[in-house]
Amino acid sequence: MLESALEALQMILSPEHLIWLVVGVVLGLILGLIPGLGGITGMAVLLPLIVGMPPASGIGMLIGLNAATTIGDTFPSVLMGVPGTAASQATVVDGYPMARKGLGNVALGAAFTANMIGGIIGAVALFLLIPLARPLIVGIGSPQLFMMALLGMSLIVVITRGPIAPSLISAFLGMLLATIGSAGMTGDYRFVGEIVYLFDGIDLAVLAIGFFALPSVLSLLVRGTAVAEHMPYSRGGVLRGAREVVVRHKRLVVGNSLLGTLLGIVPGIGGSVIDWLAYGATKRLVRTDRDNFGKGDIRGVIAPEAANNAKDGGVLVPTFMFGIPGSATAAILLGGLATMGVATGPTMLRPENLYLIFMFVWTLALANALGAIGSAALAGPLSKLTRLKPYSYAPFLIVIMLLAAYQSGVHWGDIVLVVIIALLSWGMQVIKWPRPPLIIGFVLGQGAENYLWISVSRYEWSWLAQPATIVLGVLVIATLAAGFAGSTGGFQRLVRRAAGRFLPSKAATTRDREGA
Amino acid sequence: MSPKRRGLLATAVAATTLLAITGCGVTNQQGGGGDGGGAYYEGERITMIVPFDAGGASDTFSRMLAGYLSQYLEGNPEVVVENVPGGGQKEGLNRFERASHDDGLTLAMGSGGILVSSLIDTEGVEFDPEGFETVAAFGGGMSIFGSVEAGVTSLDDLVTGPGPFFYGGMELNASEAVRVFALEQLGIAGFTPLMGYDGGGSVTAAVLRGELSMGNVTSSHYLNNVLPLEEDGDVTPLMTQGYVVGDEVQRDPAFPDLPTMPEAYEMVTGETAAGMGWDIYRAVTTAQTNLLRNYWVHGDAPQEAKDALHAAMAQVVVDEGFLEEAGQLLGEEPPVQLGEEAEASLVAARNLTPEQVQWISDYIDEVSSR
Repeated sequence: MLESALEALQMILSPEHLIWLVVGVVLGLILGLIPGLGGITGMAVLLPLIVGMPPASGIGMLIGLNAATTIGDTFPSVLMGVPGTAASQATVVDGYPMARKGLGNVALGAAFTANMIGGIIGAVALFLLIPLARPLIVGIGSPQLFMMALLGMSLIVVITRGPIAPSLISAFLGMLLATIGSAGMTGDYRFVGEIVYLFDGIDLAVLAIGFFALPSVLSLLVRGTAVAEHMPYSRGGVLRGAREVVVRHKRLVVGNSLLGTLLGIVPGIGGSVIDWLAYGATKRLVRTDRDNFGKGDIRGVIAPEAANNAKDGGVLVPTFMFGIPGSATAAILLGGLATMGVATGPTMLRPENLYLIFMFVWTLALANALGAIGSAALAGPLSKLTRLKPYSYAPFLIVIMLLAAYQSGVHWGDIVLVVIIALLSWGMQVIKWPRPPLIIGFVLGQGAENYLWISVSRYEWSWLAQPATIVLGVLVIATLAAGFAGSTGGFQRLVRRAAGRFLPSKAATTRDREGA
Repeated sequence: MSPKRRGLLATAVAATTLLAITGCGVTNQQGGGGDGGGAYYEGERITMIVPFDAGGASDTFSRMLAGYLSQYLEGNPEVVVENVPGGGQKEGLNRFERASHDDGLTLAMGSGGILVSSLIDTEGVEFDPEGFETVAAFGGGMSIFGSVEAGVTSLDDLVTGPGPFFYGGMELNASEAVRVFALEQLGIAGFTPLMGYDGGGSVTAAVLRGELSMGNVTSSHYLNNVLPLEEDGDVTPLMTQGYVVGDEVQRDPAFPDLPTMPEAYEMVTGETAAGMGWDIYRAVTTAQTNLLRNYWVHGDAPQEAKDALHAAMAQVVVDEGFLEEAGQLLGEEPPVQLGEEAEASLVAARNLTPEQVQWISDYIDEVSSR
């Protein structure tokens, strides 16, 4: 075993492979920096270039890119309040307020340190979990996967700020959006009308750009002022952020890294869900100053950033063991490995192939370290972005995001859909409905539907009596109950507010009449 | 390669990637400059429409093929892959149909499944495969394997066991419907098809844990991922969908010892696999396995262009490097059909009568409403 580890390390440290790793990391940072573009785009574009490359180089580039994207995406999340990728949405919640207080560099420093530690813990976990992967994956059947999807949704519903009912409705709306397209179980098309574009359903990238990225930039434009209006002095730099993580919040980093890794193993829970779950769990579990979350609490930056890099290690467990890609990027990675002649699946565990796993472990660790160091070096110059007036960069961002949306499906329908979704998002902001549950509902919805269908067809209703299902079910109910208890009268408040918005007030009615 | 050149290459890769990301597409140009004067494609740029997302097996295979095609086409044109996913391939093939075909600069890839499903599910179909000329059709098999955990160690266990037996796949389309039909014909006790798994890996995991008594994956997925599980004694190979040669379903070359589904039927029941259902099975299998990945030029393209493409493809499919890469990617060298042989398969796949089309459509409805 030690021999394999050293052999892999040797391969990774040869100059040729290091160069490719650095190429991957640099590209990843750039992709992460530009809102709307992410690892999926980069992987898809790099894929044809790695055909015929030696595995160590190709793996270096792909993993480097993947790891660095989730580091680079911190910049726009913190500095502009626009998530760089879907996996850094939760970072916006506290990172952006920190930037507005002039603490942008501290937030970035904390985020990069958390990224690096998370990534390395994820890599180590990948190594440790490989022997356990089989019982884990064999033990989790469709009923359990269904319950886990429900648990994921109930957690996100409960942790979202404000009353629980709008949160729940938002999640259901996301699930409803996920049903657009063809149903795997029956092959029927649902909610597509005559529009061929909708036959394959809505693309997550298009949804994320329309729902979060575009509205954020538009609101920057509308406000018209720089993110941090006065930055007469910068209160601490990157190193202060790093110190906060390593000294004050070490348990938080380690805990969230482990959480991210474990969630990464479960196929179908992507980065966009994991960062919210980490954020929510942290907010629930901390003992001090819970109210500070959302107002620029450094812990709100550390938690999601540690988890979203740590998940990369976890995601690779099912990807390697069974060829089940744990995420969209992992699916592309699988394709890439195949072109390089690297067979995934249970053969990877055999002694003669063990070095391959070590290669991933080392590459992941190294890529995270390089990415974090590179980002820390960029933090100074890039944090000046917060002092730019939005009109100088927002149009550029909008164009890039629309391009990214178009790029994901190469169809004009993408642009139309982004605009429609942005309007929906705007509407939800106006009536103060939380938006994260919708994305989570969308991501988990399709899996939940399929797993429920399979569970019922396979076990009728006896699956409800399986011990694992019961345990997960109790957790779901407990979570929701806690949420409802925490926001008494949430539903009434919702109804009142909705009524207030939609029933025209006297003044509006008068104005309308005058206008007519 | 010297370190300096490597650095340059890295920079070039970075630059290409950035260009590609900003919407310029990815090129697969292999070497530049033409050698023969006046070659049809000299200095041209061919677009190959791939109706799938970037990164999947079909896309990866197409991009690799595009590189070789560029290399063997006289005049070494660029061959650019354009991903047009959506509408279950319909978006991409509609786009192909709409493109101008007088210059032969647009090619399209499509799976065999779309050949049949565009007959059954005509919604949104604006193209007619009869007008496509096949440059090459690469085959790929389907393998059905049993779960030892669920007590299936041989075909006999499946037929004589008490059941219920669960079969799993991804989506109940025409291709899946004929497999469900064939298994049902075996008379398996309590036979229940379960659809909705999101990939070969999920099916394999469900078979491993005994949630499924048997599953279906592509032969290449089987060779890459399931074979080690078979060696460990966790799964049992049962049968394959087979390839159609002439009018006969023949064994998958990757699994010469496994019976095809019609053979399994004959072994178990002692009867010949004949009748409407089995005729449809043969037609759909032709589309599904013989014609797994088709590369088309439009029939309206200039003859010179078609000739150049056919000539280049004939060289590509015997190129050692290509065969090795294809083998690595797919786990097996894909059976390939060129020219008339491929056209014959295309006709056989689409040669369903209106009654037969109705039969599949009704069968899918019946199975999904159980």
